Amino acid sequence: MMPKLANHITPEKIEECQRLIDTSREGFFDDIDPILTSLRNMTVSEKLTDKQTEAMGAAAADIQSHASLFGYQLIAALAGQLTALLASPRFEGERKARLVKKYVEALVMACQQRINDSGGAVGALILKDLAAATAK
Amino acid sequence: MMPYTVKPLNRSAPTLRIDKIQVLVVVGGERAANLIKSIFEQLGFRNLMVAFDPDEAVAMMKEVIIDLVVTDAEIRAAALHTDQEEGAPAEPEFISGVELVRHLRTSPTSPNPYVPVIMLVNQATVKTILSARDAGVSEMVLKPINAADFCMRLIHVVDHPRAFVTAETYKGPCRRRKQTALHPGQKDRRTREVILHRHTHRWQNGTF
Repeated sequence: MMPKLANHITPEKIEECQRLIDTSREGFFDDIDPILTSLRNMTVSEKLTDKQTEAMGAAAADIQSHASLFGYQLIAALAGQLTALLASPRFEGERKARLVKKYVEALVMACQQRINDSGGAVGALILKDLAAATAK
Repeated sequence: MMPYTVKPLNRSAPTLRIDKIQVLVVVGGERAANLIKSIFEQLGFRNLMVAFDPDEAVAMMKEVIIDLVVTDAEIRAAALHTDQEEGAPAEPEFISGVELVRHLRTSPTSPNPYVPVIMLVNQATVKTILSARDAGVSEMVLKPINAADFCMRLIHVVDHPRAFVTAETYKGPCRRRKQTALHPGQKDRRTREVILHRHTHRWQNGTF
């Protein structure tokens, strides 16, 4: 008879894993606070350097993947779109810096309000507004 | 003279060496990677690798034999460069975990087309599920992540691997969850070779 993984994964281990997830979820907003501060600091400049763009892209992707694990849809969407914007060669110079700033401000606001879902109608409006600004 | 002893034959059942299973986690950021790694460590897994983009994942798989891949549905990365024309500018874009799985299953340069893949998906829409299934994803875990669901999918992939299908239009684990009899004249596309592959997972045959 083949050995089974099911025999190793006990209910106690599953409970412990759930505790890990819950702890990480509870600490999410405090955990990403330093990243948001650094993102904000980098949006001060009128043009983004390649180094800044890369650092901001990594930070935004970090927030996006972490938020999406917990189903924080609005934060994951904002961070995901910010990542895509930073990586896109379509946007350059001051325009890119301006758009990035808008996204960072929206992301900071959503995190300050501790929005842990899609944000409802307001969340949809924020995303629509940002999409319109990007399409201009 | 040393006393002569007879060592009894070891007839005990083979043991599952969780600590030897090599897992590759592909996610967009460090924090999510750390959480998934912690879950695996809590379960007894020890050989854990992390890649932050599909290119890195494929490169790692060329270096190390990976037994299980856990990938996010959304990964920040430049598109996989294999199909890109030489000299064409690389256009970075969001590529999905689905594309990574499709690459692993079908690309001639794939390091391991048979590797089991668990995908973390954001939404349980028909479109998402069908595209992941048709790309060759073994199991899906819906976000928000939940330990019981995650462990159940993990057990399913390890303990009950599905036969591997190689057909013109699909390559991946058999998409039939229920084993029904074939219609008269219908051909079973699951090849003997790949059905055998199901039974030769490294962690099951004690080859560590």
